[in-house]
Amino acid sequence: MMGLKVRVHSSLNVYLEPELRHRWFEIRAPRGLSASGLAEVLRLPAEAVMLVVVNGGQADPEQVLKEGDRVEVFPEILGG
Amino acid sequence: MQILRVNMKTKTTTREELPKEWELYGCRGLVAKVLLKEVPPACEPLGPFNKLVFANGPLAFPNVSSAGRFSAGGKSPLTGGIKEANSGGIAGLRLAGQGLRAVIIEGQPENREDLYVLHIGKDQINLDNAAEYRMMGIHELTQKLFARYGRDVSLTMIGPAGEMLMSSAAIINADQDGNPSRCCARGGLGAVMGSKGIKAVVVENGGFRQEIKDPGKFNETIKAYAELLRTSHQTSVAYPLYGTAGLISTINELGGMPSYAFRSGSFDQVDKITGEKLYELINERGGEGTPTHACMPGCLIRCSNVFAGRDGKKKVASFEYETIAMLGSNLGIGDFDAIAELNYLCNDYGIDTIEMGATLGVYMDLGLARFGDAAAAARLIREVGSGTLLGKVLGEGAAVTARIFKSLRAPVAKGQSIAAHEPRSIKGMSVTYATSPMGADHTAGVTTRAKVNQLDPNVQMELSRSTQVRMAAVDTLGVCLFVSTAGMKALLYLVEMLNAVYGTEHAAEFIDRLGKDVILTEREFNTRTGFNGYDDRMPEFMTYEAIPPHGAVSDIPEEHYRRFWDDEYWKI
Repeated sequence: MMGLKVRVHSSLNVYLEPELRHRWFEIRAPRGLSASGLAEVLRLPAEAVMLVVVNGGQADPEQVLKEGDRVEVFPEILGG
Repeated sequence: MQILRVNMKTKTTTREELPKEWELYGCRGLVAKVLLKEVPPACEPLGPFNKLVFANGPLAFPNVSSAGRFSAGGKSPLTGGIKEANSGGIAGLRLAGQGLRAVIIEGQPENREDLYVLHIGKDQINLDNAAEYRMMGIHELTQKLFARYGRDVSLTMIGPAGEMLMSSAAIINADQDGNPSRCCARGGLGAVMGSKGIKAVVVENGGFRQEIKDPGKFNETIKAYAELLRTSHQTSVAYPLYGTAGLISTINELGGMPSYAFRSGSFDQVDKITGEKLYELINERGGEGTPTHACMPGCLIRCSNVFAGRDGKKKVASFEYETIAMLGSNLGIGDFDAIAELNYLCNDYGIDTIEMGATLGVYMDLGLARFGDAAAAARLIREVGSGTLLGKVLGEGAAVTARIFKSLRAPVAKGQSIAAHEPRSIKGMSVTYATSPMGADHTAGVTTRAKVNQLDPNVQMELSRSTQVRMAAVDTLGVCLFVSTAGMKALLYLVEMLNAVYGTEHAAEFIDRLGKDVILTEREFNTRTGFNGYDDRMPEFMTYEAIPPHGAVSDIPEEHYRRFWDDEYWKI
């Protein structure tokens, strides 16, 4: 297992426990987890996730996460 | 369904049947058909030969969610080409209740001072004298018109900007709660309405019921469609919760949020103006504010909100992403109350907030006012609304303002300002802004949500093209583009509903066929006005000025712009 720091943005927070919403929190996740795999671990609907940012840079969905990574998950959007 | 013609020279009105071949055309597509058939392409947009078209869509039933959109269209004084702009509110449904798919306003009063309210009632259509409303702001006008015609009517209005024939003038509709802030904003159509001598269109709640060929199938499809909208993340969670402001965190991260006159794609004060912050602030203030609101009856998505000021009184409804970015981050303003004040002023004068945000950005970027100075921005918008010399310049939009004050950084395509989806960081938007017959218009084809590398110039043309085709179809059916976030299945339900109502037998491919036909019709109109394809360009500065945070430029290969219009693709 490895430790990750995670923050979920905007409407995706509704799928988290209230105490984890809109802030950084730590999780333990299996080694080898990909950026897109994290959505599954967090139980976010895959189709609603648009962007995963790792340590400030946009990640490939297949990018493998590492111990201590700071990971942010952003929802899909359209227009306004 | 019928079309109502109003001749402003002779002050006569006639009703005619909607031609059978246009039965499934509404809103954007119907505008295109009418313009190509009836408007001389070379005409002066503010002259007697242009026409102003209002239309709803073929699925404008109160029990079909999000299908009562209302379009305005005509030749644009801003772009010189075809223009259609649409909004929510209740005007689309009210027209349907009068048995109307469209209203075509022709000619001009001989006396340029004449001003009218077009009043469409059950048994009568009148042009009422509107001299008493001359230069009246939208908020006061709304109250006066409700007092005169009753609270149940729809209102479609122009403010002082429209009366002064400014190219940034919008047409403003009231929503189902009477809030006058649903805007057919873009392209200066408010000026076209002003040029016709019409201050407002008032439509009573009529009882017309359209025949439905297969009511059983229609009701069954409505149920399935509603269930889809109730379960898809974007339509059931994201929009009702945070509205369009919910996209701020994502788009800022993508580098797609115009800031400081398009000098950055991410905003240093973004944490103060996210969707989450807006939600918190609205709830904390209480009063007349609410984070979730439907602009039209029957809408299940309810993306709107009501933003109350510090006193708990309604300020703007709805407070939207485009406005928050163009009058906020693009001017260096990271304060909801300050942005809402600018939004309120634009609504009151009847000005497109996107065009005005881009214009004030140009002005501030030249050092003529300070970024972040909300009071200066408000003062400048008041100059526009009161028609001072400076105001008349700014009221013509970003391109004219840049030309007069000598900026090389006019963020425009075909003369219309780019919206708040930065086209260098989100490169598909370069293709959409450059190629759409509408000029730079984000709703013509938002590629922002596509799961592609937004920075790769080589994968954007096809993406933008197919998105534009789909959006043109959705806009033609008078359906809110947010429905499309529920996926292709939602669009299939729309086709099934059309089949049930009109007895047609279309399959899924109808969507693409319809969208292509509409865009080709629009392009043909533009070609006849003198556009020749070399107008499909991004502003020059965006091709060499790299924008943070990704250091991106607009670099779609030239050849892709040319291939965009390949005959092979556009064959119907």
